[in-house]
Amino acid sequence: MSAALIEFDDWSIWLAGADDSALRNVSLRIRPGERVLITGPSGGGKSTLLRAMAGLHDTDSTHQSGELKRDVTTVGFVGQEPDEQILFPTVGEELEFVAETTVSTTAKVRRRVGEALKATGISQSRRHPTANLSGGEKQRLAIASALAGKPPVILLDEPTASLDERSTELVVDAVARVADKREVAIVLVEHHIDVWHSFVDRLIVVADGRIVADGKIDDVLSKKRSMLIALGVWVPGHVTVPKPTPPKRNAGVVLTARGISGRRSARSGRVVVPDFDLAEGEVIALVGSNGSGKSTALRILGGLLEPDKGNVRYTGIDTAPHRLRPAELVELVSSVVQNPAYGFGSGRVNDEAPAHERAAVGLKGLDSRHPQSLSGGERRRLGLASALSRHPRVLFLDEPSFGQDANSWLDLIERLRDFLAGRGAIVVATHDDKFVKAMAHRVIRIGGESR
Amino acid sequence: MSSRRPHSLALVFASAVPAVTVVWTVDPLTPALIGIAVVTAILSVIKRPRIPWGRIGIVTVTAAIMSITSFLYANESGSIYAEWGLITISDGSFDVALASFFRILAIGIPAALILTEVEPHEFIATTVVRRVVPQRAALAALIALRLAPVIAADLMETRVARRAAGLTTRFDALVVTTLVIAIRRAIRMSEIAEVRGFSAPDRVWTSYRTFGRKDWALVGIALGSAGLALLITAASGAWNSAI
Repeated sequence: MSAALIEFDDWSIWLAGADDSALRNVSLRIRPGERVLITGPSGGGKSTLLRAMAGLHDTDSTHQSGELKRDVTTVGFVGQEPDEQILFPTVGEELEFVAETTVSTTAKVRRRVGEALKATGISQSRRHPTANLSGGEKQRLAIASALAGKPPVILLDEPTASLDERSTELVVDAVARVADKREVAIVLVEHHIDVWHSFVDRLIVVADGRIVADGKIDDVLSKKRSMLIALGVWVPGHVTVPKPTPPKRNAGVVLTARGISGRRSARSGRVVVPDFDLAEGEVIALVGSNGSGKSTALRILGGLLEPDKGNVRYTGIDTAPHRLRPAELVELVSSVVQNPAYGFGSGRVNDEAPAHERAAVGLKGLDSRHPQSLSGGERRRLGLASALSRHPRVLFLDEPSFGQDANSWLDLIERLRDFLAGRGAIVVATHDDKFVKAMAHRVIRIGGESR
Repeated sequence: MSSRRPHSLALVFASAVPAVTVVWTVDPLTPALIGIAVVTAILSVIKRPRIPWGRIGIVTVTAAIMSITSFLYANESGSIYAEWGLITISDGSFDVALASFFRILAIGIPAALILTEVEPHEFIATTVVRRVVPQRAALAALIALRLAPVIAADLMETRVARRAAGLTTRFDALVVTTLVIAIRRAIRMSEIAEVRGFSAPDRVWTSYRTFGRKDWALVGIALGSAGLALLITAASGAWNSAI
């Protein structure tokens, strides 16, 4: 048995800041070439464990006990937010930055960069601007950057949490290529086990700051199945999709959309929205590939963006939605954008939504945290709780189910059904097929984008 | 192949020469001479130069506005043609107006020409390798460049999200939220940078290039023509000391 790269021996950490959770009595080893998946409920300590492996845990303001040995000079680390993984304006500079510190000549740097591009399947040229990459391409480049340093281990913290399905595929493909060679150990934190199942050997489950399961992935999945389900882990084939209840007949129309087209910004392509009426108790899903304009359509419908042509009308209101003042708009309808953190106005989770609304979407015990410090999935749920607290007639949701564990996903469905039963209506832009099946009465495909 | 491209540091240096030349004397001749010399030199080293007419237009309009201002408010000299309160138009007004017009063109046009030719990474790498700038400061500046468009996008998202939350979308409110987000981003990005070897002591600067003959020539021509322009001005009697 080869020596461990990273070794925890009865290690505990108490964190001073409230942004990370504590870990207790962790004992585990990461060995060369191992492929490990860490999962568990949100806020259970998965990320804290990964950051400790990366040496990113704060050693000054925290209290630790036990032992943590890191027999590695360098690690590769990939975080959640694609935009924060990219440091330079071009693909080449991004990779050179890492390679420049690990080899000794310019020629070797170039070779190393070439290898990293090939290993992750990146086809863009070295001079390609990183600003033009999609989220998935950015994450793939971040993995390539990690590889360019030839580390013995790569650590990935929910690398697909803010990505749609197609982008997720790019990242999974890149990780699979790396895993295939078995030259580097891979440790990744993720909610969706099925996506990673085929090339992971070992599953570690972290909940409430403790390791509650650790072993061969198939063993853990079969022996601890009921525990994993209780913890909200996406156990392959478990979450059954509840069927949507149809809206009442003769339900009143709350929104009409006629001849709408628009664009996200002056330089982006035109998005065409098919005409439709939305009835009370109804859910319409906007679907379409990445960049098709679903979010733009949703923003126009929700009165956040002015359409170039056509009009949106909320029943009983004569003013065009985009002309309403923000305070008037939210009296009528509520939008939950992809990253609601941009709209959080206060410094505490407490002040963003009342306690019962937070509890209804499964947000507990985060009261005094800063809203910006929440995970992507938590921010979306907090945004939803805040939107629902204003009792809107229509909800506009942009990818509400990204980054949710199985339990919060089910909480979300349940809470939205309550909202519909209270005569609400929903327009949702989503890539999540399960969500569409569980909630949508009608599907509208967006993709008539023309320049 | 890339060695034919002019060195970014040489371009920045050459384009900065007019600015330090025209501070000595307020007259139209010096900026005209140095400006023509430096623009010609820069155009001759740039491969396939594309003239940025838009940027040159902005520089010209700025120069015109500044020149009108100096025309109206210049110190009086020679015969006086008109006086309204603080405004005095005299012989000196014409000289000063023409001088400030050419000064701004001489500083602005070379800068407009090199803007898309300069590679920040090469510029920074060269200053670090030559020990002009400390490595950490230089790398941080480079990474900050990449953050700029991200923050611009954050500002737009903040506007939409605040409207969605029923909050005011006044500019000052947007700036505060965007700033909070930018600081958090910067902290997380600095962690990523650190993991990727930001502080590693022996870095191979692949973007570093030594000066070629053309680069030295560019610097030499810029400095030489600056001296020559000042001499010609002094000899012609147009010198009007500004210091």
